[in-house]
Amino acid sequence: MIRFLGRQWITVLLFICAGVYTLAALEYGIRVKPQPQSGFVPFLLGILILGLTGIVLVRMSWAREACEKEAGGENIPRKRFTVFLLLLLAGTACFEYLGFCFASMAMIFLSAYLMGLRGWWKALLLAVLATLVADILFAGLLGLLLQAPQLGRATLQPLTNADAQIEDLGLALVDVDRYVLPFEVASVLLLAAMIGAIITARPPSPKEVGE
Amino acid sequence: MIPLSWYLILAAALFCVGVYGVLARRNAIAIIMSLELILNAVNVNLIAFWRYLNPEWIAGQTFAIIVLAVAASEAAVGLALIISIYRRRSTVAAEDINLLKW
Repeated sequence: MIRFLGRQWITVLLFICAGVYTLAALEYGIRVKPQPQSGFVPFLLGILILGLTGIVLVRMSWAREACEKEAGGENIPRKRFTVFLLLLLAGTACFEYLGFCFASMAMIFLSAYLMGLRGWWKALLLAVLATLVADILFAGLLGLLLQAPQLGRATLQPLTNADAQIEDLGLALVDVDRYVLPFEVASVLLLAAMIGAIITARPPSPKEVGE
Repeated sequence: MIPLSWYLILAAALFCVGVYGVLARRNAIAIIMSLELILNAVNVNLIAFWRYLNPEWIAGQTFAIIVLAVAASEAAVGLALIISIYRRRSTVAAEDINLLKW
């Protein structure tokens, strides 16, 4: 009977959850088309966490064996282990309904807690922020690049009367009804920056040097 | 014909190089150069979207000109500050400049 103590419980939980997560990600069809589908990033995340928790588990078991050789045997918490396994099965069964967002948050929270981030609220904050950022980056940006058809198929129309456009741009920058206000604001900003740069970079006066 | 997504990827790569430079470099001049890279990535995006999606509307070019002016102002002030700091401390390493830390 394997004994799980302290953080080893969390590591085993994370290992099994990552396995279920990776299997669920496979169902989203990363091999359907040559380009990555929506399950690609969760699949990579699941594989990564599986590998990391596997390494941590192996290292923990080595350390435990070394400790047992020195200190001798301890009591086996069989009841806790059974309850833990039941909770684990129930939790992983709920993953499909809760979605990848919640599953990612839970796994990042456990990973951060395992890595020694003191305070559960810090790990929870990290998990929520990382999930939000990953969601925005991958669901937004990657989805925009890979799945938005109008951006991929935007055709380059030849510019008709390009000279007239340049003339229009020049006129628009000084037209009272169009872009004269941003143009003037940018001009004043540039002037102020130039004067400030000259004053800041001037050589120190002899009085200042003497001080 | 180069598709629009290539320009977006180029701009994203420029932006990432710029962010890495701002966060990782220790030389203050290199940090300012990385900031310029970030602003130029924005310019590439603006011009690419203008050219591909709505070439008849000149707002993209106007925004790019204003971004250029802001980048020039920022570079002028930044370089002046660096010159001033170098005169006083004989270094431009960002980790040694801790006057505003407290």
